[in-house]
Amino acid sequence: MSLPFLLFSGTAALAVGATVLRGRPSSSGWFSALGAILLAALVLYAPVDEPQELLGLPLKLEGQWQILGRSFVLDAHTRPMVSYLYLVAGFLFAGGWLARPGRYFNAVGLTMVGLLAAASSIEPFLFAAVFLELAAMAAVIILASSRFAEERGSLQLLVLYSLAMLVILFTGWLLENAGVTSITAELAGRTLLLLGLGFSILMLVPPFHFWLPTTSNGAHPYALALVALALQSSGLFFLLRFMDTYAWLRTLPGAFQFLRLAGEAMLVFGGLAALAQPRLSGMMAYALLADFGVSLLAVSLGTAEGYQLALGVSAARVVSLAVGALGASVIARDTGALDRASARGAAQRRPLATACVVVGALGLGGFPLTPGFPGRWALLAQAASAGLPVGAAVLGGTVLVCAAALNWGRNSLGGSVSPDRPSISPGERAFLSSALALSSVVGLFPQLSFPWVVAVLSGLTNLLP
Amino acid sequence: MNLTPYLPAVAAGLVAGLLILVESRSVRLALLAIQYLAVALLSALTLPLNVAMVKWVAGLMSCGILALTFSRLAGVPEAPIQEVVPAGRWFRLLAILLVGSAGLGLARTDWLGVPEVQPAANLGASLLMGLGLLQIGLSQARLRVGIGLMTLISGFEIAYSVVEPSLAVLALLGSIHIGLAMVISFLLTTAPALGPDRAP
Repeated sequence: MSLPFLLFSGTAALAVGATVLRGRPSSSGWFSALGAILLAALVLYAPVDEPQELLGLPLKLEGQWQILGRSFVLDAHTRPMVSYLYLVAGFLFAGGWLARPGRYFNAVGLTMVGLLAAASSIEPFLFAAVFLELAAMAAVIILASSRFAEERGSLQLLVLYSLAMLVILFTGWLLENAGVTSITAELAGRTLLLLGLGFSILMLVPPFHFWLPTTSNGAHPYALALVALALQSSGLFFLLRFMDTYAWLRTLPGAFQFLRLAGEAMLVFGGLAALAQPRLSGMMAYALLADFGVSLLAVSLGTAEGYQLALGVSAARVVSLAVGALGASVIARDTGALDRASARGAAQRRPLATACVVVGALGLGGFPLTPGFPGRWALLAQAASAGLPVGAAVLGGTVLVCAAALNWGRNSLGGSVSPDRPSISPGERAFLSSALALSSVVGLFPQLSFPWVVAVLSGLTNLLP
Repeated sequence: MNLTPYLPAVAAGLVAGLLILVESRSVRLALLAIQYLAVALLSALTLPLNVAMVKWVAGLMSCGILALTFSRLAGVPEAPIQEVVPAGRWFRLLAILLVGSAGLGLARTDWLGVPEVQPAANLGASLLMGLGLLQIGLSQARLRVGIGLMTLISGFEIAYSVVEPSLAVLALLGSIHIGLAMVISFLLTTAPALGPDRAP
């Protein structure tokens, strides 16, 4: 039996189970969360290619599954990445019972994570682009089936990912067959241009970010959080695998310069746009964009510490966005909308949920004592050699996003005190409090989680010698 | 000069153009099935015919999924959508002619950088990719965007089957078409009142 086959079968079985339980959000959420975490543990710790004995029967779990001449490989390179994706999904599924993002959130979410796992484990890895496109299709269903059905941004996501797939497949052919390392500068330039386009789409570099704010206007915040986190994490892994595989890419200063410019632009543009948003969901979307920019800036350093930092920032983002989206979902349940007017007085009606939103948004902005801060601090220290623009972009983006979050928090304190405050169950109160506590712990003690997170990249031996 | 291979290329271009012009869902579905046949025939210039026909089978499966959805939506009224781009019939016709001309011009060069692609396949790929992009750019309607994506990917597949003729890639790209049909069907059935796609 092979581990990839076991993983995909397990994911399919979980998705079927979540579909059966779709009428019971709590059961479905916990079932999916525990299942995803178990699969993450299986991928990470299962003994591969070693003879074992189970109930007296000999058993050998292979790390490779061949199908139609292509292989899914779970080895030292890919196992931590796949495990990370399942852990992120499991973490978000656990809060689904409170956020209630839709009947198919867990089932289709599991399918999407399975497809992203396939993208991370397929060999040759260039075909990951096809699985990323299939995962984008699942994302469209998650966004469109959520309680606040949204489809314009979802269609934009589908179109962009389709274009990225075509561009990356074609570039892959150029790299594999035309031997771009040894050919003309013209063809190398064309390859770089195509690669830049494909990865700009996957990493939401402006102007290819537009699906995110469009979707945020209509989609359920928690559904969008899962989609954005899973797709962006996979895109980052894909980029890092590309850089790990093609040594010539790492020797091109232009590639890192492009990443640096893109990261700076995302930070400043995301921060300014977050400040100008009339809706909470729009503000969170642009704060997320600015945070993605921090990851790109970290990658642009071109050092082992920079790559690790990019992943550390991504992991901190999972906590901040999940906490913020959870709070936003609870507030939206009362008001039906997340604009400035309907959010006024939210702090009086739903104090814990509002605290989650503000803490989550501050975390995305990198406010001190939140999960996003240590990554930015480390980036500033690393970026001392990279020059003033990097430091200015990090500081500027941080200030702008944090100002937007605090402004929204101030708005939620306004309005008249309503006598009929919505009731909150002890379970909901405990869960929201735990989310806030988790956010604080990750922000205060990053050393607890950082070493675990950066181990995800341990298989990329060319990037992290 | 053997002109026979150019027939499916020209047919693919004509059908892709008509897909942008025609309003009726059922006619668009029939045109899509013809387009998939043309794509399979163009792919057969480099792949064995029985293997290339897998593309047609995958395309027919996509059309079947959409047909089932249309039958479920037969009596559902649909509200018009505010399009960003003015998309009157004459405007669309002019755009098709412009993009078609550009596709014809591109097909005379090795714009893909793959000399192994035959001229007829290059023509079909250029026309389908250009007109697919046009379809996506002209409308925000689910069905139109979905068909535009299918057309664009079909055009790419014709060229890509030359550089990557493996069965695995054939199956993966076939699954993309089926997946697209499923997603578009889902969007059409979950919020039918939002769509501008006309009933038959």
